[in-house]
Amino acid sequence: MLKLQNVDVFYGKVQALSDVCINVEQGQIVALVGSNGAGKSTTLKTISGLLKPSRGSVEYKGQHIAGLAPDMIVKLGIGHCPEERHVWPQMTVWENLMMGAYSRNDKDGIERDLQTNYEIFPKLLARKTQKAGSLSGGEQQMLAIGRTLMIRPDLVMFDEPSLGLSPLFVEHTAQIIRDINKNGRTILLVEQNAQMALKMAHKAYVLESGRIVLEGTGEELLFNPYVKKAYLGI
Amino acid sequence: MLEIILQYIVDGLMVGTTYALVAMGLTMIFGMMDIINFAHGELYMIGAVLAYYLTSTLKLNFFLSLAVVVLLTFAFGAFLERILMRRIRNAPHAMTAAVTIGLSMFLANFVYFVMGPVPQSIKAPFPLKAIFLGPIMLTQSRIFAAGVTIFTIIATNYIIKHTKLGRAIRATIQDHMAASLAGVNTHKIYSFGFAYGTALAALAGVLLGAMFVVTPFMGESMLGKAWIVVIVGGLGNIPGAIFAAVIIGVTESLTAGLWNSSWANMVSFIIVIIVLLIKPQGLFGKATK
Amino acid sequence: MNTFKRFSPLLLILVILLTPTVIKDNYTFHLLIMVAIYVVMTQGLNLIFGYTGFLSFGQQAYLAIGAYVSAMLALRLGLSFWVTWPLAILATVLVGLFIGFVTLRLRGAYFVIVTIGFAEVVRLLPMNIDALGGPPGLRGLPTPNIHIGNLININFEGTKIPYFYLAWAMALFAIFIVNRLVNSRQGRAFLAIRENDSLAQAVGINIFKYSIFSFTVSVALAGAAGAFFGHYVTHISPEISAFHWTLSMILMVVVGGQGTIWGPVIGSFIFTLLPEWLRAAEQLRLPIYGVLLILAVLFMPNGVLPWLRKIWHQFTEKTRKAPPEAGSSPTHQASS
Repeated sequence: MLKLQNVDVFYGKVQALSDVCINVEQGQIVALVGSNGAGKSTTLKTISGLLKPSRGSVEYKGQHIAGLAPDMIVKLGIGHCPEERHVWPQMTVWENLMMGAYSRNDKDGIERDLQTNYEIFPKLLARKTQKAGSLSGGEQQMLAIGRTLMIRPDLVMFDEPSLGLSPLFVEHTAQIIRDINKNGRTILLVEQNAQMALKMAHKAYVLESGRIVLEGTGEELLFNPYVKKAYLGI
Repeated sequence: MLEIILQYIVDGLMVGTTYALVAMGLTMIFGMMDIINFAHGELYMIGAVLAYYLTSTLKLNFFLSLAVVVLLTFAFGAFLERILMRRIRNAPHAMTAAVTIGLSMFLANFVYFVMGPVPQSIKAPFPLKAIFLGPIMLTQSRIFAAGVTIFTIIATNYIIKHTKLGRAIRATIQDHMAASLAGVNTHKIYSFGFAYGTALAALAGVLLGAMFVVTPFMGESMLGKAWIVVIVGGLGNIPGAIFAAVIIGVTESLTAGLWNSSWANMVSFIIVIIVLLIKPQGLFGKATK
Repeated sequence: MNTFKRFSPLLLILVILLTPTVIKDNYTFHLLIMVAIYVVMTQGLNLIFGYTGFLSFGQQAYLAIGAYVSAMLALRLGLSFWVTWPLAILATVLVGLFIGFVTLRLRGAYFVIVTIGFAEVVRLLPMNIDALGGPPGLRGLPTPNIHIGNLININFEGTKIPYFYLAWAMALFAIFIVNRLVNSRQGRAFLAIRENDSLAQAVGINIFKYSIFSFTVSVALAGAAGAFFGHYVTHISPEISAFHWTLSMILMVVVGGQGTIWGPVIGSFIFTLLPEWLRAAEQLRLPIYGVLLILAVLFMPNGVLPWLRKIWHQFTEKTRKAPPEAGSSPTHQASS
């Protein structure tokens, strides 16, 4: 479904990704793990069009998408739930969700997805007229996820969804991501919390200073001695 | 005495609402693109000059000219955004200042080259006879200007608060990366914002140009006023700008009427300095960013 | 290169001293004097803006304060320029301290607007106060003649050469002061504030104190230039508090190269001489000026100086490479 081949990305003169190859199959949960600054967020930003690769190709459903504007990529069905949530603080919860459906025109479908969101996240329904800036961190994360789902994406990319959340919320978030996957959506998950990510992933990649150093199924990596030592702290 | 004061207040209200048109565009452009637009006064001037040519040279009806000016300047704004503003969006303030100052110099002096130094007036079909509302004297041109302005302010407010486009504009202002990821073509939003701001300023130019005179350098003093309004209202805050515009308009009118017109500007600037000392975010600004 | 750098100030002084042997016409002298006045002002603006990061849009106010204080003292009390000049600078410093104290807590666009606002207030004062001459201004300012007994007798009337020397002495002094400042501990504090003020605060730099210091020096230079200008043209009017003075300064600093010592000097030359060259274009002069400004900023965002430096380096590299020196700089290629 999504295929990155030999992707290089630069921030000015600093190389952030080199020769990255990633393959995401339809229906899978694929995890990207690695430490801070390894290039995980850069990878997602490259896929969603916020960054342009200087070399290599990004292929989505057989179409080359590297270099397309982010709004075009959203229309193709890729949702990117960014790191640190990035909700619009001065807009209400409802407005935030409706913005997710910005490029859609199916009124009934939008209304249905809105209701589905309220079912998954009852907190959002209770606070739908409140400003997003007044929500707690966990609620803002729910809102960011809900907004991304309003795109009605086939591929959902999550960037550090567990960052800054309490352990209880982390488990809750993981469950939600599994549910989204069960509903037929493909997931590309970026996490520093390798334990959580590898447990649910069908397939995973380990990134170190902009390069893929390991790949395998989630389980393989979970029991890989190097991963254990470097990322799981065992 | 009370009647005179009341008259000044009403005059100030009417002029103040037109300041709001100019200031709204300015604050919107600042809020969206972080550009301190020193050429905004010239966009206002261009509205007036275009209306002058349309009504005098082409002998077009005033109301039709008004509509034509709004459309033309909207397109001009989109063009400017495409060739210039896009390159300096989020650049350091010194750079945006230098570029917009260059644009302002170019526009004012080019119009001066075409139009010459003689102040002109826009032929508006309003009778000069005054209408009396109790002790207060009004002219038709002022009533028309205030009506159009209030309508435009309400319409703009509606667009921003209650439409999909308005949501996309606010989302782009608050977090443009998140807006891109939601599928908003932010380039288009910036273009629209700049074009809309240009058209608002030009509209104010036509309305005030029909009351006073049209000169190539009329933008300069308007820019000063608009900045006062924007600062008092809080940078990037549209409702704040509207309130502040009315306050500044009334203050100016009272100072000019009761004291001396050359002190009117000074009083507004002193208001600004006091406001900033007490509440640096502006009267209607929020304490946090 | 190093010896060149060490001797360049002396070379500059020599060039200035010898200028009157080459240039004879008064108009060119007038332009060169204006360049020197702008050098003083832009060094000041560059200090607060280029090095410390506050875009002060109200420098014309301090120019006007310097000019008016000196003119009033000279005309009303009959004092010599050599007495009124330092007093005018002192007055500017006092006003600058006060304004700095209330405005330097603001940053970004707010600071810009407040400095404009204050300058607007200053502009309206001489226009509306009759004692300050009103709109026509003050005439008959004394020239800075020097008579010490019969020994030294320098007369500034009828010739531009003494003005030329005095203006450039002032300009060199301004360059020297700013250069010393930015290469000192204070200068590093200024840069820290410009780059990241919260970080600067975190490492114990008293932002407010250093900002006020930088601002005060900056307005003192503006005041000095203003007072000098008044006694040079011997007539001042509220025009000296007009915004276009600061505009010119900003353009000179930005186009010349902000945050560099010689950038504003180059800018002062360009924007004093360019309008003269464009005089041929008659009425289209100012529109062309506007377009040139836009293009300069868009294509040389760091100013002319870094661009000139780049060209110079390429040039010297080429001339150095011209003789076939095999493997003269292998380190350059190894690291890629």
